[in-house]
Amino acid sequence: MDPATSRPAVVIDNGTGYTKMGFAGNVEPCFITPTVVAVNDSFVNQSRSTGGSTKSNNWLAQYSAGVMADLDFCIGDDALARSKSNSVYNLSYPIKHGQVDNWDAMERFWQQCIFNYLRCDPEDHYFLLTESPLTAPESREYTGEIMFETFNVPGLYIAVQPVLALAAGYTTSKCEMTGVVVDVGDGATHVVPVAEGYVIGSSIKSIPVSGRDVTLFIQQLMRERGEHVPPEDSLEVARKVKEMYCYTCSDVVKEFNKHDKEPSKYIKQWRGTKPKTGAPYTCDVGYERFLGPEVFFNPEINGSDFTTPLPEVIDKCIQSAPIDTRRALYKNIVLSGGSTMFKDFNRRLQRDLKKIVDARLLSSEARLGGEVKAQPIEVNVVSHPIQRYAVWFGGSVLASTPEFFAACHTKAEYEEYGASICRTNPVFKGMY
Amino acid sequence: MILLQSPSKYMLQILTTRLQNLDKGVELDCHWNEFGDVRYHIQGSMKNPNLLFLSVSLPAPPPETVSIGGLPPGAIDAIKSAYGAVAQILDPPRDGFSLTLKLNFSKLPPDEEEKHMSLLKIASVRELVLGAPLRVFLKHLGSRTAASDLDKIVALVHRPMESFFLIPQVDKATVVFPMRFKDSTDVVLATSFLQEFVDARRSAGLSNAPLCSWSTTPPQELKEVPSEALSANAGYVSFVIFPRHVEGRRLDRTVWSLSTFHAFVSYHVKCSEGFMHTRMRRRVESLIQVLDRARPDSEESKKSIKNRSFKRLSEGRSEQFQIIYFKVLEPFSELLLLVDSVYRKCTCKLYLIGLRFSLSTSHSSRSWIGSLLSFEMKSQQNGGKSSISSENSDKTTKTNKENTAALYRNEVDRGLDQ
Ligand SMILES: Nc1ncnc2c1ncn2[C@@H]1O[C@H](COP(=O)(O)OP(=O)(O)OP(=O)(O)O)[C@@H](O)[C@H]1O
Ligand SMILES: [Mg+2]
Repeated sequence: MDPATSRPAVVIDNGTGYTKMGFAGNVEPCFITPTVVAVNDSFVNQSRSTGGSTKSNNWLAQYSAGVMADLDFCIGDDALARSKSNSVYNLSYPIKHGQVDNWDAMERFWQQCIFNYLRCDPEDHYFLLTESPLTAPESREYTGEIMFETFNVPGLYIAVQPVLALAAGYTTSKCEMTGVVVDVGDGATHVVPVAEGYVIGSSIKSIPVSGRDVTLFIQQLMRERGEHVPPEDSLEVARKVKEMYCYTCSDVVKEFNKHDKEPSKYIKQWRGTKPKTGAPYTCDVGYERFLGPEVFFNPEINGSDFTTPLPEVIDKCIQSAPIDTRRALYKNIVLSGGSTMFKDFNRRLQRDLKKIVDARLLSSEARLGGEVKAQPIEVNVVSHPIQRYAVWFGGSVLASTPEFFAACHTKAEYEEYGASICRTNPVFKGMY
Repeated sequence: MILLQSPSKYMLQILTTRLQNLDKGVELDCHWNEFGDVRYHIQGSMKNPNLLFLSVSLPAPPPETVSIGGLPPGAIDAIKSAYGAVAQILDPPRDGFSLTLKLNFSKLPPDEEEKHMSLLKIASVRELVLGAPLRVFLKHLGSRTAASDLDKIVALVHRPMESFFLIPQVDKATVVFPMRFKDSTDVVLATSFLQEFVDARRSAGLSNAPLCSWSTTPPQELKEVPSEALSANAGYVSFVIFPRHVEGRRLDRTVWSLSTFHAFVSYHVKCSEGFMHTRMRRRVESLIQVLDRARPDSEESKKSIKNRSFKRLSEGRSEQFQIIYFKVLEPFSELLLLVDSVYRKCTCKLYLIGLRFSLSTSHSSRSWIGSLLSFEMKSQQNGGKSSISSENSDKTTKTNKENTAALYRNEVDRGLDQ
């Protein structure tokens, strides 16, 4: 037997904003780190600036400098810190809107994850990676190529994020593998219906409102009010303010009134230091506390073209699913991703959705003249403590079942058939 | 990152967060693995946040090594002297582990700085336990107090069922690593990497670094060692350590560098593969651009090529390729010939150093791309002209590799010399 199957699999969930990585069988990922790579680009820029007039003895020196620069990179929080203090480093975000955008950066990112953060030998462990439901099969092949060719992993499974998020609920409650996953991350928001572990592909809804938009919206609000935040720091401050102080309100108008009546109770202070001079500063956090999350329920306040509220999107999604699954889907709406962490987000979502569903029931009853009474539809938005990294946790649970190793593509298969085997990843028994 | 660090990042993170949140203790139960098949388990309870149980399991020792109760000789003493009252060794250790420590945070030194240093030391438990026997020998060497059993070969475990060898002498110690790799590409890369490593040692500025040599056969000194323990597919590397390399604070660095040498090489082999992939992608993309520009029907919308794999790219375009073959590839034919000759040279070189290298496997195609890349660089130099003698480009490959190796060496030796 392959000794690698006796070791825990490595589970890495690469998100637009954060990467969650760790070993299967644990309840928490080892590291949650920003998906960003700081690359030393001094060599590349140099050769560009000199253009075609490169002298022959010069290029070799440049080339070797390039080799050194090639090892001179870092990821995550180190990268953010390094790029702040040193202008030689350029930040590159390998994932955009849930899809890998820059494979060079992605490969380096994985290299650091494996060797520097998890410090494991990739030849010793099976790997479970995740992808968004809209990822193209080609991208999956590319991932397979990198994993098998560069890292020589013995086995690889690429799971769909919402399925894993459902599996996460599997252990926290008695839930089954049918449900709607609302995954609101940093760069993408997906509403994905899953029936018996299979994603109903035709009903997936994606909306262009996600965590990053909330951050940008808050940044804008604070700038317009004239808070004194250093411009180079303002995005970072907006993100922290969002994560620390934002909450979901039940009614915007009432909330405005509350804030106006008792400002001392609702207005928070943010303290920071200026990155250049190190001088401390403070700024107020006011209406943005509830207006930020409101972007999901009233997208028009953000001034975008997209105006359908999230509860309506979910309702549309379920209505487009096969009719025999709809009741089960309404009953199990699972939240996942960092941007669902706002206080009372689940309650607001459940209330708004229930309103839509009840209104529809009423109108159909009226149409039928009150003769037939429809059975009320149970709407249930499930929230659980591990929501933030539910995808990772689901991966950790699945990868610790014995069926996982059988469902993986192995290196031998890869060598026999090539990267195309990574296009499909079978649903396996542990999943439902 | 060029060198692997001694403290485990994850363990340090667990210990520091625990220390910062002593007042709100949480249940803690984490398992994880590290390179070389070292396994950790850390467990803490809500009731007593000051206590943590840290268990470590070590790689399975091969028969030629000595182990006392599942631990390398000297490990217990090393732990006792390094951790003092903070850690208590539990006997027997938890099921499935070689060592269990009961860590008591209330016994940590009061000073913040010192606290951090002790946590760092705990996170480096691997170096302490696995490196213990090597440390004892090198310490004797450093203080020039001869150990009793001089000239006796010592086997030290560093990977499951694999060991490296130490030959202690009065004024020096020789350390020999049989290098083994699973994947045949890795073998090829590691072999050339190790040779460049040895070459780089000869360069000026590194004259204080340990002597280093590589051979395809086990060194003479190891003739008593059973041959199973010496099987290797990427040759044998030896370092000669002199007392100056293990003086004072250098000792720790040397012990760590030596006991993780295999992991170090294997990491850099992976890095070079990643580097080659980067270059391959750029090359494929630029070739595709050339193809796109030469496409006769330009009204077809341009597709994004980013998400395509190499194979897909060539498949999808094969027809098109044929149509425009003469238009596009004509000027490239010289290039292809050249690449071919470079490739043959490479093969010869690899053959000379006694490596099996067959054309039919997928690996050869990658080395082929490797030479293509070196050509690419060469042609950049000539401003795109493809008329270079192949001898030249062979030299280029060599210098590049030397540069990389020199860089690696530099770093290691800096580690050893500090
Ligand atoms: N406590 C919190 N409250 C509100 N938002 C939060 C909180 N914690 C994290 N976030 C936000 O959640 C987002 C990150 O979520 P997550 O890690 O799920 O995204 P991702 O997986 O990186 O992205 P995606 O799934 O879209 O590719 C960030 O925008 C972050 O600011
Ligand atoms: Mg995500």
